[in-house]
Amino acid sequence: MPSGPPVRQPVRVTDDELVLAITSGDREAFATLVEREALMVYRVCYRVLGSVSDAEDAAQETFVLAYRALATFRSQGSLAGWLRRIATRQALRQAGRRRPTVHLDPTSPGAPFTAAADPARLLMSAQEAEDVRRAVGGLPEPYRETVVLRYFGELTLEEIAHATGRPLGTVKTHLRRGLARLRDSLPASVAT
Amino acid sequence: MTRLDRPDDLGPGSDELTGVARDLEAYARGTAHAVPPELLPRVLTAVAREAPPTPPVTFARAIAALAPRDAARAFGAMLALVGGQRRGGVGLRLRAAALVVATVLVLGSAAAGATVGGAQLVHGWLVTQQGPSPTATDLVSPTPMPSPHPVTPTPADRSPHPSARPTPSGGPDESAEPSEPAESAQPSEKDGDPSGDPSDDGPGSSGGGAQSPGPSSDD
Repeated sequence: MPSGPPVRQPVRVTDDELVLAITSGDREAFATLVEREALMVYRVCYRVLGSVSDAEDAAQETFVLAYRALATFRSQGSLAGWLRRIATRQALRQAGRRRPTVHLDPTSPGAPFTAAADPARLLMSAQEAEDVRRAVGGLPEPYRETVVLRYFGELTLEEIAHATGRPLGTVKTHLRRGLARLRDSLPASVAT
Repeated sequence: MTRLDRPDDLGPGSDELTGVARDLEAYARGTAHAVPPELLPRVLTAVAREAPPTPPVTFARAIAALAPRDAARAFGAMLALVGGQRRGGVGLRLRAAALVVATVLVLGSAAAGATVGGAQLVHGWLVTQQGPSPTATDLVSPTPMPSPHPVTPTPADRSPHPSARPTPSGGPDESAEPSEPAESAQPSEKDGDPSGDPSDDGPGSSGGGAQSPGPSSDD
Protein backbone atom coordinates (compact mmCIF):
# COMPACT_ATOMS: atom_id res chain seq x y z
CA MET A 1 0.00 0.00 0.00
CA PRO A 2 1.61 3.28 -1.03
CA SER A 3 2.34 5.67 1.75
CA GLY A 4 2.64 9.32 0.90
CA PRO A 5 2.07 12.63 2.50
CA PRO A 6 -1.37 13.04 3.95
CA VAL A 7 -3.70 14.77 1.59
CA ARG A 8 -5.54 17.67 3.13
CA GLN A 9 -9.23 17.20 2.66
CA PRO A 10 -11.05 20.38 1.76
CA VAL A 11 -13.31 21.28 4.60
CA ARG A 12 -16.11 23.73 4.11
CA VAL A 13 -15.78 26.31 6.82
CA THR A 14 -17.38 29.68 7.01
CA ASP A 15 -15.48 32.93 7.12
CA ASP A 16 -16.43 33.52 10.74
CA GLU A 17 -15.20 30.09 11.79
CA LEU A 18 -11.92 30.63 10.01
CA VAL A 19 -11.41 34.06 11.54
CA LEU A 20 -12.22 32.82 15.02
CA ALA A 21 -9.87 29.90 14.69
CA ILE A 22 -7.01 32.01 13.35
CA THR A 23 -7.42 34.74 15.95
CA SER A 24 -7.34 32.05 18.59
CA GLY A 25 -3.89 31.05 17.39
CA ASP A 26 -4.75 28.20 15.04
CA ARG A 27 -2.13 28.32 12.28
CA GLU A 28 -3.66 25.38 10.44
CA ALA A 29 -6.77 27.45 9.96
CA PHE A 30 -4.64 30.17 8.40
CA ALA A 31 -3.10 27.62 6.03
CA THR A 32 -6.62 26.67 5.01
CA LEU A 33 -7.40 30.30 4.31
CA VAL A 34 -4.24 30.75 2.23
CA GLU A 35 -5.02 27.63 0.18
CA ARG A 36 -8.54 28.82 -0.41
CA GLU A 37 -7.73 32.40 -1.44
CA ALA A 38 -4.19 32.19 -2.83
CA LEU A 39 -5.31 31.88 -6.44
CA MET A 40 -7.33 35.07 -6.53
CA VAL A 41 -4.90 37.03 -4.38
CA TYR A 42 -2.05 36.01 -6.62
CA ARG A 43 -4.01 36.83 -9.78
CA VAL A 44 -4.94 40.29 -8.54
CA CYS A 45 -1.30 40.98 -7.80
CA TYR A 46 -0.12 39.58 -11.10
CA ARG A 47 -2.66 41.53 -13.13
CA VAL A 48 -1.58 44.76 -11.49
CA LEU A 49 2.15 44.09 -11.55
CA GLY A 50 2.64 41.87 -14.63
CA SER A 51 5.53 39.97 -13.12
CA VAL A 52 5.54 36.55 -11.46
CA SER A 53 8.17 37.39 -8.87
CA ASP A 54 6.62 40.75 -8.00
CA ALA A 55 3.18 39.16 -7.78
CA GLU A 56 4.52 36.48 -5.43
CA ASP A 57 6.05 39.12 -3.19
CA ALA A 58 2.85 41.16 -3.18
CA ALA A 59 0.71 38.10 -2.48
CA GLN A 60 2.94 37.07 0.41
CA GLU A 61 2.81 40.56 1.85
CA THR A 62 -0.96 40.57 1.42
CA PHE A 63 -1.36 37.44 3.51
CA VAL A 64 1.02 38.70 6.18
CA LEU A 65 -0.86 41.99 6.43
CA ALA A 66 -4.17 40.14 6.55
CA TYR A 67 -2.85 37.83 9.26
CA ARG A 68 -1.85 40.77 11.43
CA ALA A 69 -5.17 42.56 10.96
CA LEU A 70 -7.51 39.60 11.01
CA ALA A 71 -8.95 40.55 14.39
CA THR A 72 -10.26 43.76 12.84
CA PHE A 73 -12.12 41.94 10.05
CA ARG A 74 -15.81 42.81 10.05
CA SER A 75 -18.01 39.86 9.37
CA GLN A 76 -20.51 41.93 7.36
CA GLY A 77 -18.44 41.46 4.21
CA SER A 78 -16.76 38.44 2.74
CA LEU A 79 -13.27 37.40 3.70
CA ALA A 80 -12.42 36.97 0.02
CA GLY A 81 -13.42 40.54 -0.77
CA TRP A 82 -11.45 41.83 2.19
CA LEU A 83 -8.36 39.91 1.09
CA ARG A 84 -8.65 41.06 -2.50
CA ARG A 85 -8.90 44.63 -1.40
CA ILE A 86 -5.72 44.27 0.65
CA ALA A 87 -4.09 42.59 -2.36
CA THR A 88 -5.18 45.40 -4.65
CA ARG A 89 -3.76 48.06 -2.39
CA GLN A 90 -0.55 46.15 -1.79
CA ALA A 91 -0.03 45.51 -5.51
CA LEU A 92 -0.76 49.11 -6.44
CA ARG A 93 1.60 50.31 -3.74
CA GLN A 94 4.30 48.00 -5.01
CA ALA A 95 3.65 49.08 -8.60
CA GLY A 96 4.06 52.69 -7.57
CA ARG A 97 7.44 51.95 -5.99
CA ARG A 98 9.09 50.06 -8.81
CA ARG A 99 10.40 51.26 -12.15
CA PRO A 100 8.43 50.37 -15.27
CA THR A 101 9.58 47.21 -17.05
CA VAL A 102 9.19 46.00 -20.59
CA HIS A 103 8.86 42.31 -21.34
CA LEU A 104 11.36 41.53 -24.05
CA ASP A 105 10.64 37.83 -24.04
CA PRO A 106 6.94 37.27 -24.69
CA THR A 107 7.21 33.56 -24.00
CA SER A 108 8.51 34.09 -20.49
CA PRO A 109 6.24 33.03 -17.64
CA GLY A 110 5.75 36.66 -16.76
CA ALA A 111 4.38 37.56 -20.14
CA PRO A 112 0.61 37.53 -20.54
CA PHE A 113 -1.41 36.05 -23.37
CA THR A 114 0.71 32.88 -23.52
CA ALA A 115 -2.06 31.03 -25.27
CA ALA A 116 -1.48 32.79 -28.56
CA ALA A 117 0.62 30.90 -31.10
CA ASP A 118 1.94 33.58 -33.41
CA PRO A 119 5.15 35.17 -32.02
CA ALA A 120 4.23 38.50 -33.57
CA ARG A 121 0.86 38.32 -31.91
CA LEU A 122 2.52 37.36 -28.63
CA LEU A 123 4.77 40.39 -28.73
CA MET A 124 1.87 42.69 -29.55
CA SER A 125 -0.21 41.17 -26.78
CA ALA A 126 2.55 41.71 -24.27
CA GLN A 127 2.72 45.33 -25.29
CA GLU A 128 -1.04 45.65 -25.09
CA ALA A 129 -1.06 44.12 -21.66
CA GLU A 130 1.55 46.60 -20.58
CA ASP A 131 -0.61 49.38 -21.99
CA VAL A 132 -3.63 48.12 -20.06
CA ARG A 133 -1.67 47.91 -16.82
CA ARG A 134 -0.22 51.35 -17.31
CA ALA A 135 -3.57 52.90 -18.17
CA VAL A 136 -5.28 51.30 -15.16
CA GLY A 137 -2.37 52.22 -12.92
CA GLY A 138 -2.66 55.83 -14.08
CA LEU A 139 -6.27 56.18 -12.99
CA PRO A 140 -6.89 58.39 -9.98
CA GLU A 141 -8.44 56.97 -6.85
CA PRO A 142 -11.08 55.78 -6.18
CA TYR A 143 -11.63 54.82 -9.83
CA ARG A 144 -8.46 52.77 -9.96
CA GLU A 145 -9.36 50.68 -6.95
CA THR A 146 -12.86 50.07 -8.25
CA VAL A 147 -11.68 49.04 -11.72
CA VAL A 148 -8.98 46.77 -10.31
CA LEU A 149 -11.35 45.11 -7.85
CA ARG A 150 -13.94 44.56 -10.59
CA TYR A 151 -11.78 43.29 -13.46
CA PHE A 152 -8.54 42.14 -11.83
CA GLY A 153 -10.06 40.93 -8.58
CA GLU A 154 -13.24 39.63 -10.24
CA LEU A 155 -15.49 40.98 -7.52
CA THR A 156 -19.08 41.84 -8.25
CA LEU A 157 -20.27 45.38 -7.72
CA GLU A 158 -22.08 44.32 -4.56
CA GLU A 159 -18.91 42.71 -3.20
CA ILE A 160 -16.93 45.84 -3.99
CA ALA A 161 -19.51 47.88 -2.13
CA HIS A 162 -19.14 45.55 0.86
CA ALA A 163 -15.35 45.51 0.71
CA THR A 164 -14.94 49.26 0.38
CA GLY A 165 -17.85 50.28 2.57
CA ARG A 166 -19.26 52.47 -0.19
CA PRO A 167 -22.86 52.51 -1.40
CA LEU A 168 -23.61 50.45 -4.49
CA GLY A 169 -24.58 53.52 -6.49
CA THR A 170 -21.24 55.14 -5.67
CA VAL A 171 -19.38 52.03 -6.78
CA LYS A 172 -21.27 52.06 -10.10
CA THR A 173 -20.45 55.72 -10.60
CA HIS A 174 -16.78 55.11 -9.85
CA LEU A 175 -16.67 52.21 -12.28
CA ARG A 176 -18.35 54.20 -15.04
CA ARG A 177 -16.03 57.13 -14.60
CA GLY A 178 -13.02 54.85 -14.44
CA LEU A 179 -14.01 53.12 -17.67
CA ALA A 180 -14.65 56.46 -19.35
CA ARG A 181 -11.18 57.65 -18.43
CA LEU A 182 -9.68 54.39 -19.65
CA ARG A 183 -11.48 54.79 -22.96
CA ASP A 184 -9.64 58.06 -23.41
CA SER A 185 -6.28 56.87 -22.17
CA LEU A 186 -5.99 53.39 -23.70
CA PRO A 187 -4.23 53.27 -27.08
CA ALA A 188 -6.44 52.63 -30.08
CA SER A 189 -4.76 49.25 -30.62
CA VAL A 190 -6.13 48.08 -27.27
CA ALA A 191 -9.41 49.94 -27.01
CA THR A 192 -11.20 48.30 -29.93
CA MET B 1 -19.13 31.35 -16.76
CA THR B 2 -16.96 33.50 -14.57
CA ARG B 3 -17.81 36.64 -12.70
CA LEU B 4 -16.25 38.63 -15.52
CA ASP B 5 -18.89 37.34 -17.90
CA ARG B 6 -21.68 38.95 -15.94
CA PRO B 7 -22.52 42.28 -17.52
CA ASP B 8 -22.51 45.16 -15.09
CA ASP B 9 -25.55 47.33 -14.88
CA LEU B 10 -23.83 50.67 -14.95
CA GLY B 11 -26.91 52.66 -15.74
CA PRO B 12 -28.01 54.54 -18.83
CA GLY B 13 -25.44 55.56 -21.38
CA SER B 14 -22.95 52.87 -20.41
CA ASP B 15 -23.05 51.00 -23.71
CA GLU B 16 -20.13 52.92 -25.07
CA LEU B 17 -18.04 51.75 -22.13
CA THR B 18 -18.61 48.06 -22.76
CA GLY B 19 -15.75 48.01 -25.26
CA VAL B 20 -13.31 49.12 -22.58
CA ALA B 21 -14.81 46.62 -20.15
CA ARG B 22 -14.31 43.83 -22.69
CA ASP B 23 -10.66 44.79 -23.11
CA LEU B 24 -10.15 44.59 -19.38
CA GLU B 25 -11.91 41.23 -19.22
CA ALA B 26 -9.74 39.92 -22.05
CA TYR B 27 -6.64 41.08 -20.23
CA ALA B 28 -7.80 39.38 -17.05
CA ARG B 29 -8.51 36.09 -18.85
CA GLY B 30 -5.12 36.17 -20.50
CA THR B 31 -3.39 36.52 -17.15
CA ALA B 32 -5.22 33.75 -15.29
CA HIS B 33 -2.08 31.94 -14.22
CA ALA B 34 -1.97 29.18 -11.66
CA VAL B 35 -0.49 29.91 -8.27
CA PRO B 36 3.24 29.17 -8.09
CA PRO B 37 3.70 26.11 -5.86
CA GLU B 38 6.22 27.86 -3.64
CA LEU B 39 3.81 30.61 -2.63
CA LEU B 40 2.04 28.70 0.14
CA PRO B 41 5.25 27.63 1.96
CA ARG B 42 6.59 31.17 1.60
CA VAL B 43 3.49 32.65 3.18
CA LEU B 44 3.38 30.15 6.02
CA THR B 45 7.08 30.66 6.72
CA ALA B 46 6.61 34.42 6.82
CA VAL B 47 3.60 34.14 9.10
CA ALA B 48 5.35 31.71 11.45
CA ARG B 49 7.50 34.61 12.66
CA GLU B 50 4.43 36.66 13.54
CA ALA B 51 2.62 36.67 16.86
CA PRO B 52 -0.85 35.09 16.68
CA PRO B 53 -3.36 37.76 15.62
CA THR B 54 -5.33 37.68 18.85
CA PRO B 55 -7.41 40.76 19.67
CA PRO B 56 -5.00 41.98 22.38
CA VAL B 57 -2.03 41.70 20.02
CA THR B 58 -3.94 43.43 17.24
CA PHE B 59 -5.05 46.15 19.65
CA ALA B 60 -1.48 46.77 20.80
CA ARG B 61 -0.29 46.89 17.20
CA ALA B 62 -3.02 49.34 16.24
CA ILE B 63 -2.14 51.59 19.17
CA ALA B 64 1.52 51.46 18.25
CA ALA B 65 0.68 52.26 14.64
CA LEU B 66 -1.64 55.12 15.73
CA ALA B 67 -4.53 53.53 13.85
CA PRO B 68 -7.62 54.49 15.89
CA ARG B 69 -10.14 52.65 13.70
CA ASP B 70 -8.24 49.39 13.88
CA ALA B 71 -7.76 49.93 17.58
CA ALA B 72 -11.50 50.47 18.03
CA ARG B 73 -12.29 47.29 16.12
CA ALA B 74 -9.75 45.30 18.07
CA PHE B 75 -11.18 46.73 21.27
CA GLY B 76 -14.61 45.54 20.19
CA ALA B 77 -13.15 42.10 19.53
CA MET B 78 -11.60 42.12 23.02
CA LEU B 79 -14.96 43.05 24.54
CA ALA B 80 -16.56 40.18 22.66
CA LEU B 81 -13.85 37.88 23.95
CA VAL B 82 -14.31 39.03 27.52
CA GLY B 83 -18.07 38.89 27.23
CA GLY B 84 -18.02 35.36 25.93
CA GLN B 85 -19.41 36.08 22.45
CA ARG B 86 -16.06 35.12 20.99
CA ARG B 87 -14.15 31.89 21.41
CA GLY B 88 -10.83 31.93 23.20
CA GLY B 89 -8.75 30.31 25.90
CA VAL B 90 -8.67 31.41 29.52
CA GLY B 91 -5.28 33.06 29.17
CA LEU B 92 -6.44 34.96 26.15
CA ARG B 93 -9.59 36.11 27.94
CA LEU B 94 -7.56 37.28 30.95
CA ARG B 95 -5.19 39.25 28.76
CA ALA B 96 -8.10 40.80 26.93
CA ALA B 97 -9.84 41.67 30.21
CA ALA B 98 -6.67 43.28 31.58
CA LEU B 99 -6.26 45.35 28.45
CA VAL B 100 -9.91 46.40 28.49
CA VAL B 101 -9.63 47.54 32.12
CA ALA B 102 -6.38 49.38 31.44
CA THR B 103 -7.85 51.06 28.40
CA VAL B 104 -10.95 52.13 30.27
CA LEU B 105 -8.83 53.57 33.08
CA VAL B 106 -6.58 55.47 30.70
CA LEU B 107 -9.49 56.80 28.69
CA GLY B 108 -11.38 57.70 31.85
CA SER B 109 -8.43 59.61 33.26
CA ALA B 110 -7.94 61.41 29.99
CA ALA B 111 -11.62 62.28 29.81
CA ALA B 112 -11.64 63.56 33.39
CA GLY B 113 -8.56 65.68 32.77
CA ALA B 114 -10.08 67.05 29.60
CA THR B 115 -13.31 67.86 31.42
CA VAL B 116 -11.55 69.72 34.22
CA GLY B 117 -9.33 71.58 31.81
CA GLY B 118 -12.28 72.47 29.64
CA ALA B 119 -14.27 73.70 32.62
CA GLN B 120 -11.38 75.91 33.68
CA LEU B 121 -11.08 77.32 30.21
CA VAL B 122 -14.80 78.06 30.05
CA HIS B 123 -14.72 79.64 33.47
CA GLY B 124 -11.82 81.87 32.50
CA TRP B 125 -13.55 82.84 29.32
CA LEU B 126 -16.76 83.71 31.14
CA VAL B 127 -14.92 85.89 33.62
CA THR B 128 -13.22 87.68 30.76
CA GLN B 129 -16.51 88.21 28.96
CA GLN B 130 -18.33 89.58 32.02
CA GLY B 131 -15.70 92.23 32.67
CA PRO B 132 -15.02 93.92 36.06
CA SER B 133 -17.81 93.98 38.58
CA PRO B 134 -19.51 97.31 39.53
CA THR B 135 -17.71 97.38 42.87
CA ALA B 136 -14.43 97.11 41.13
CA THR B 137 -15.45 99.94 38.81
CA ASP B 138 -16.13 102.18 41.76
CA LEU B 139 -12.73 101.43 43.13
CA VAL B 140 -11.00 102.16 39.90
CA SER B 141 -13.16 105.06 38.74
CA PRO B 142 -11.61 107.99 40.64
CA THR B 143 -10.16 110.29 38.06
CA PRO B 144 -6.46 110.81 38.05
CA MET B 145 -6.87 114.54 38.72
CA PRO B 146 -4.20 115.75 41.09
CA SER B 147 -5.41 116.26 44.54
CA PRO B 148 -5.61 119.96 45.42
CA HIS B 149 -4.17 119.42 48.85
CA PRO B 150 -0.47 119.45 47.99
CA VAL B 151 -0.95 122.32 45.55
CA THR B 152 -2.77 124.76 47.77
CA PRO B 153 -0.30 125.97 50.25
CA THR B 154 -1.51 126.74 53.64
CA PRO B 155 -0.40 129.92 55.31
CA ALA B 156 1.74 127.88 57.60
CA ASP B 157 3.47 126.35 54.65
CA ARG B 158 3.92 129.62 52.83
CA SER B 159 5.27 131.69 55.53
CA PRO B 160 8.65 130.11 55.99
CA HIS B 161 9.48 130.11 52.32
CA PRO B 162 9.93 133.80 51.72
CA SER B 163 12.10 134.07 54.72
CA ALA B 164 13.94 130.94 54.09
CA ARG B 165 16.62 130.67 51.56
CA PRO B 166 14.86 129.69 48.38
CA THR B 167 16.00 126.54 46.75
CA PRO B 168 15.47 125.48 43.16
CA SER B 169 13.10 122.81 44.31
CA GLY B 170 10.97 125.35 46.08
CA GLY B 171 10.33 127.27 42.91
CA PRO B 172 7.82 125.06 41.22
CA ASP B 173 5.73 124.62 44.32
CA GLU B 174 5.16 128.28 44.39
CA SER B 175 5.06 128.81 40.69
CA ALA B 176 2.03 126.53 40.60
CA GLU B 177 0.26 129.27 42.41
CA PRO B 178 -0.06 132.22 40.04
CA SER B 179 -1.00 134.60 42.78
CA GLU B 180 2.39 134.34 44.42
CA PRO B 181 4.95 135.53 41.88
CA ALA B 182 5.83 138.65 43.81
CA GLU B 183 6.57 136.75 46.94
CA SER B 184 8.69 134.18 45.23
CA ALA B 185 10.64 136.79 43.32
CA GLN B 186 11.36 139.03 46.22
CA PRO B 187 13.81 136.85 48.07
CA SER B 188 15.92 136.34 44.99
CA GLU B 189 16.14 140.11 44.41
CA LYS B 190 16.87 140.72 48.03
CA ASP B 191 19.58 138.14 48.35
CA GLY B 192 20.87 138.50 44.84
CA ASP B 193 20.63 134.81 44.55
CA PRO B 194 20.53 133.78 40.90
CA SER B 195 18.46 130.76 41.75
CA GLY B 196 15.39 132.70 40.71
CA ASP B 197 16.61 132.66 37.14
CA PRO B 198 14.47 130.24 35.15
CA SER B 199 17.55 128.96 33.46
CA ASP B 200 18.67 127.58 36.79
CA ASP B 201 15.51 125.68 37.46
CA GLY B 202 16.19 122.13 38.19
CA PRO B 203 14.88 119.34 36.10
CA GLY B 204 12.05 118.76 38.50
CA SER B 205 10.81 122.27 38.08
CA SER B 206 10.62 122.50 34.33
CA GLY B 207 6.86 122.47 34.41
CA GLY B 208 6.81 125.57 36.51
CA GLY B 209 9.48 127.29 34.48
CA ALA B 210 7.06 128.62 31.94
CA GLN B 211 5.09 130.34 34.63
CA SER B 212 8.05 131.02 36.75
CA PRO B 213 8.44 134.49 38.12
CA GLY B 214 11.70 134.89 36.29
CA PRO B 215 10.48 137.32 33.60
CA SER B 216 8.64 139.42 36.09
CA SER B 217 11.77 139.69 38.22
CA ASP B 218 13.69 140.82 35.14
CA ASP B 219 11.16 143.52 34.72
